[in-house]
Amino acid sequence: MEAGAITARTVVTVLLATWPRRLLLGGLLLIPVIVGALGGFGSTEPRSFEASAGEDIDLGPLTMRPLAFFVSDETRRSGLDYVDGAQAWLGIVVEVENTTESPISLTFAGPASDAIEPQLPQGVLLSTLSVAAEAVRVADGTSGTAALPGVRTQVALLWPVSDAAAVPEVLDAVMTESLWMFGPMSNEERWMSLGDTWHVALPRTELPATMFEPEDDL
Amino acid sequence: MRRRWVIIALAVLAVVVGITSNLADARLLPYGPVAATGAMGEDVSAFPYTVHVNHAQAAASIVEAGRFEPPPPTTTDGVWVVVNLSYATEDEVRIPGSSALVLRAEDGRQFPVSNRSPARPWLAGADIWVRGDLAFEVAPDTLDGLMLVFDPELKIYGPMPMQYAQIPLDLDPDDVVEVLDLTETETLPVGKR
Repeated sequence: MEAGAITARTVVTVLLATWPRRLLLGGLLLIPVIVGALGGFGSTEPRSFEASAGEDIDLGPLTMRPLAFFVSDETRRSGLDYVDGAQAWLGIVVEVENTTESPISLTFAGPASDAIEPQLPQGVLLSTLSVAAEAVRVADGTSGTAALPGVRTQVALLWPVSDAAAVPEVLDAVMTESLWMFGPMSNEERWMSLGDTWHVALPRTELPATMFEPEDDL
Repeated sequence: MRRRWVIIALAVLAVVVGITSNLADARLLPYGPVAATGAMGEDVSAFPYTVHVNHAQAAASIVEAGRFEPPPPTTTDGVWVVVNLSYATEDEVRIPGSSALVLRAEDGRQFPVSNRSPARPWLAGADIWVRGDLAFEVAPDTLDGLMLVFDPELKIYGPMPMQYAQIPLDLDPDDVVEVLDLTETETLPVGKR
């Protein structure tokens, strides 16, 4: 071997040559032990909570307060006709506030993707995405698809269902927290629904009167 | 002994070159957006557009324009801000994209043209000025220090300084009218804004 080459052996010899170096190295090796003794870095597993209707839940990009649900075919009739096999809308009434700096679409995959998901038997829910198909502002029945920063709005999130009778009297819904994380696929930071979840049981209610749409008599 | 120093020097050189090129890339090359701050009643350039804000008004509800029988006012959970503006292009007929015009609050929150109002950005031509109203819904606590941002987001590839315009709206947080009628877009004669 050539004289003066940097080998593993010479590196170890240099690192362990004096007492201060030995102490430093020993201290570094102790860090994981100390962190472990103090309770570790926190769990990576998302937690699961029970929530009740009418409770504010912080989902990261959105604060959402689920209130109740309804099943009806007397609103957004033309939208319902577009979905094959749809019998009615399942609507979940929520109060939503965007806590980020930019608007969030409540009907498009993104920060609101898994904000609230109704739990129904296989095949009843007719959307391919977990996000709602339509969002209507409860106060006047106009479009409520955009959640604006700092503007708290009550909206009805609508999903098409194949069988209105299959929806139980009390609807279970799962709300998933989104975390601002680096996505290796998109190579940028974005909201990902990987955080804690809340299970909420929603009471049934009537279609809000403002959303009622009379049948076209042609 | 000398060989060891050469290896260490090369390692340090590699790190220094990396840091320097990152810094140069982030700060020195002339690409990325460049703001042109203007004022109301002024022509402000946001290539390929020139924009001119005439006035802005906060309102609790708005009435859309261009109907024989006016519809009921549209309310909001925030506050409406109606901006009356005109713009023309510098080269050809263009229409700004749906996210080109936003209102930005002092704390960075952004509010797009409301999809609950029928008013959308309109076509304009080379030095052909078209004026109209755009309605935005904003959070009530942002009225003070609200700014119109016009970013044409033109896709030009390569190192190129992209320009966007920002125009403070000087709104009075206490001056919120009950109902505001939107006006229709109108193509303006020469010299008018």
